[in-house]
Amino acid sequence: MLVKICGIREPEMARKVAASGVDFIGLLFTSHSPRQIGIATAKEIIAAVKDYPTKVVGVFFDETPEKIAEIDKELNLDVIQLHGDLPRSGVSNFTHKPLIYVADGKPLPECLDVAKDFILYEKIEPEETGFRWFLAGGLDKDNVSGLIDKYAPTGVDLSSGVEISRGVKDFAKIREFLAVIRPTYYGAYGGMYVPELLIEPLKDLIDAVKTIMHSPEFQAEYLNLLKNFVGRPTALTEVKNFAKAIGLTSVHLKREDLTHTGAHKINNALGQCLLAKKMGKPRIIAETGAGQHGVATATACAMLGLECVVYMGQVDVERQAPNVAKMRLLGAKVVAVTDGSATLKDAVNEALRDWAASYETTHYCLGTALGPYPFPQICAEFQAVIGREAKAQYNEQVGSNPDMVIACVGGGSNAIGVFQEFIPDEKIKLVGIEAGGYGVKVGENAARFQSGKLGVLHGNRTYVLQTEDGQIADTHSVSAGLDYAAVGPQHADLYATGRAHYDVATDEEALIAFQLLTRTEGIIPALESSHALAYLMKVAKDLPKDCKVLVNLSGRGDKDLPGLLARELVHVTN
Amino acid sequence: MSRINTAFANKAKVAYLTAGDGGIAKSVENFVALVKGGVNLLEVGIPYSDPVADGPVIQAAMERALKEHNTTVDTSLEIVSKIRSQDNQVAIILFTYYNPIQTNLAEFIRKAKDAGADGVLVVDLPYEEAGELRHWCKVYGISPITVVAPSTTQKRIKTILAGLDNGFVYYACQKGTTGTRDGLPEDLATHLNSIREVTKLPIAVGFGVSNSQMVSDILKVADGCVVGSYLVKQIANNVTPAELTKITQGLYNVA
Ligand SMILES: Cc1ncc(COP(=O)(O)O)c(C=O)c1O
Repeated sequence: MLVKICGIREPEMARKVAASGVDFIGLLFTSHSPRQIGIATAKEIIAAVKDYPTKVVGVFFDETPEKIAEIDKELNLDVIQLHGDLPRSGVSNFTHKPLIYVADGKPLPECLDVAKDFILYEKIEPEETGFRWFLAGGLDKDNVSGLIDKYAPTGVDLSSGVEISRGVKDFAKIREFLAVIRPTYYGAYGGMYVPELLIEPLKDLIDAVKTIMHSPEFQAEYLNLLKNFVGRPTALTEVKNFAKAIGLTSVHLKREDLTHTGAHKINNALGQCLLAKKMGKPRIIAETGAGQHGVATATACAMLGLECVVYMGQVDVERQAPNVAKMRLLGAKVVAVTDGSATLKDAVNEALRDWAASYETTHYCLGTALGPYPFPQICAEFQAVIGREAKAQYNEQVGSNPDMVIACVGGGSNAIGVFQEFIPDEKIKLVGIEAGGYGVKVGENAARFQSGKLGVLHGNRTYVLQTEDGQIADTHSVSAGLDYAAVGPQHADLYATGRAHYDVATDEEALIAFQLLTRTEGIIPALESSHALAYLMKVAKDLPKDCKVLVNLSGRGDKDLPGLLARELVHVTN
Repeated sequence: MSRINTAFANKAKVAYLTAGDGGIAKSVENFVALVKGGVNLLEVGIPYSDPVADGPVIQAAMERALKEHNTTVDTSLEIVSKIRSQDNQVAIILFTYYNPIQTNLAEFIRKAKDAGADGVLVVDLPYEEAGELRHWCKVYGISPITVVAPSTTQKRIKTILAGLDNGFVYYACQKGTTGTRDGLPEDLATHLNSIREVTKLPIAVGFGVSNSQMVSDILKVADGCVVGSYLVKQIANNVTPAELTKITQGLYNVA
C-alpha cells in the first residue's frame, strides 16, 4: 500500500515523514489553502528528503499550466498532481513527468500512461481503469482499514486525518496511521519477506500473540518465572571505579549478566518457549551466535519439558565452546552449520529451513529483535522488562532519569529492551553500538548503519551489509553475538527517524573495555556488552563530566574466556 | 498465444537450473539440453548467498555459481538472452530471491523482458509485499508468477490470485525446502481443486519431484510439472549436455 501525505509545510516534518517510509509527500502551492508554501520552503523540503526514496509531489488546484511549468522548472518536482480544471486542462504538457491525475468523472485523457501515472479519486466513486490509483478524502486511522478492504486501492492519500489543527501535521498521528495500514512495519522497516509457505505459520503466531501472550494469565505466569526462575529484577549497579577511570562521575550498569544463564537472552527465550507450550508446539528450534540464546532456549526447554534443537555456525561452535557443552548438557541437540560464513546468519538460514518443514509441531524461537513480523515485536515485548526495571531502579537510586542510555546492538534485542521505556522522553539520548571489527570495509565489521544498505534479509527490510550485487556480505566481530549482517527493523526506524544514534566500537576497543571493567569493578562483561562500555570509554572525554550514563550490561563474559585465552587476546598472569 | 500459454497448452514440462552453475557458456548449454529433452518452460534461478527456501542441492549450486563463476543478476540475464537467441519458442521464467533485485525493481523487470524472459517468480516476496512487482510486470508485459503452498488457506488463495490473468500458478506441493523426495503428498489433488475454484490460470506442481513416475502422476492432475533439485544434482555430477537431454527425456517420458 502506497502512502501519500499532502500539505507538508516544514522540512523537518518532511524528513521524519520520509524516514518513516511515506512514499509521496504533497506540497501545495495554491493560495486558497492553509497548507500553502512558497518556493523557498519547497526547496528546503526537497533538500530535506533527498536521501530518501520518498517522491515530492507538487499539488496544483487552480494554477495555469504555464505557472505549473514555471514552478516545476524551479523545483524539478518528482510528480505533478493536477487537481482542478485549470491544471487538468494542461495535462498534455506534462507527459514527461509522472502525474497524479485527480479524476473528475469525465473520461481519462488519452495521454496518461499506466507505467508512470496515477489516478486519484476523491469524493467520486473509484473505477477500474488499469491505472495505479490513490484513494483520498477524509482518511484517518479509524476509517482507513474499512476503506482499503472495500476499494483495494494502490495507495492512500491523507491530509487532515493526520493533523492536530487545520494545516498542522502531527508526527505522532502520522505514525499511528502508518501502524494501522502497515502493521508489520516499524516505519519503513520490517515486513514479512518470507516464502509463501511461512505466511500462515506467521499469521498463527500473530494470533497467538493477541490471544495467548497478551492474556493476563500468560503474563502472570511469565512474570512469576522471571522472578523465581530467572532471578529478576536484576541489579542496577553504580560503577564508581570504572567511571573514575574514564573520567566520568555517574555510570550505572543494568546487570543482565546476573540473570539465570548469564544474559538478557533468557527473557525472550523463556517467554517464547512458554508461548510455544501454550500453542501446543512440543518442539523448539533456535539459532544462536554467541550461544547465549541457545543456552537460554535449552534451559527454558529443559524446565518446560520441550524438545530443543539449536542451529549454530561452525565458527561459533568453536569460539563459544563452553556454551555448546552447556546446551548439550541441558538436553538440546546442537547442529553445527558449515554453509556460507558458518556464523549466525547461516544458523538463521538453517532454522528457517527447518521451520518451513516443521511449523505444525515446532516453534521457531528467534533470539533477537529481527526476522519476519511478528518476531521483532515478540522479542521486543519480552525484553521490555529490562528498561522497565532499569528506569524504576534508576529513578529510585539517582532521583531522575539518565541523560544517556547505551547498549550493544547485534540483532538488537538487549538494546530495544532497554531503549523502549525511554523512547517517549526525547531528552534522553539513546545510543546503540555495533561491532566495528578490525576495519571500516565491508567484511571487516558488522556495522550495518555505517556500511550497510537497505535490503532484505531473513524476512525483514532493514539495513543489510551486502555486496554491490546484492549478495549478503561476510561480517566480522570478535564477539559472536554481534557478528551478523542485518539489524532489527525497529532499530533501523529509530536510526532513520533520528530518535536513537548508532556508533561502533572495534574489536580492540572492546577488549580493552572488557579488561578495564573486570579489573576496576570485579565484573567480567560479555564481549558483546564490552562494545557498549568501549564506546563510553571513547566518548567520555567529550561528555560533560557529570553526564548520567546508563549502560545495559547484556551478559557476562565467562563464555568468552576460553576463546580469548586460546587466541591470546587476553592475558592472565600469576 | 504467449509462450507460457503455449507451454501449458499441452502439459508444461518445467525444469529449473541455477544460472551460472558451471559458468555462462556451460549454463546456456545445459538449459538448451533440457529443451532438447522435452522441456518447454525453463526456470532460470538467479544465485543468492542465503537461499532460505532451498535445500542442500540448490544451495550448493548457488554457491558454485557465486564463488566459482561470480554469477550476478546481470550474468543471469545474459544467460537468458543467450538461450533466447537459440530458441524463440521455449517459455523462460526467472526465479529469484528479493535482495539481489530490490534496489531497482523496475529496471530489473525491464531488463528481464529485454533478455527474453516471460515471467518472474520472487520466492521471498509474498503477496503482501508484491504490489510493485506486479505493477512493473504489467508495465513491461511479463508475467508475475505466484506461489501457492500447502499452508495457504482457501481464503488466501482467493486473495493472492485475484486479478491475475496471465502466467501460471506454481503450487509448491511440499512443506520444507527444495530437494528431492520419494513420493507425492496425498492431498495434492484436493489442493489443486481449491486453486482451480478461484482461478483459470494453469497450475504447475513442483517441489521434490525426482522420477518419471512422480512426473506422470503430477501431469495426470496438474497442467505442468516442475523438476529442480533432481536435475541440479546431475549438473553437480558433471553430466554432459547430451546425457542431460537423455535424463530429461526419461523423466518426462518423451522419446
Ligand atoms: C551477551 C550478549 N549481548 C548482546 C548480544 C547481541 O544480541 P542483541 O543485539 O539481540 O542483544 C548477544 C547475542 O548473542 C549476547 O549474547
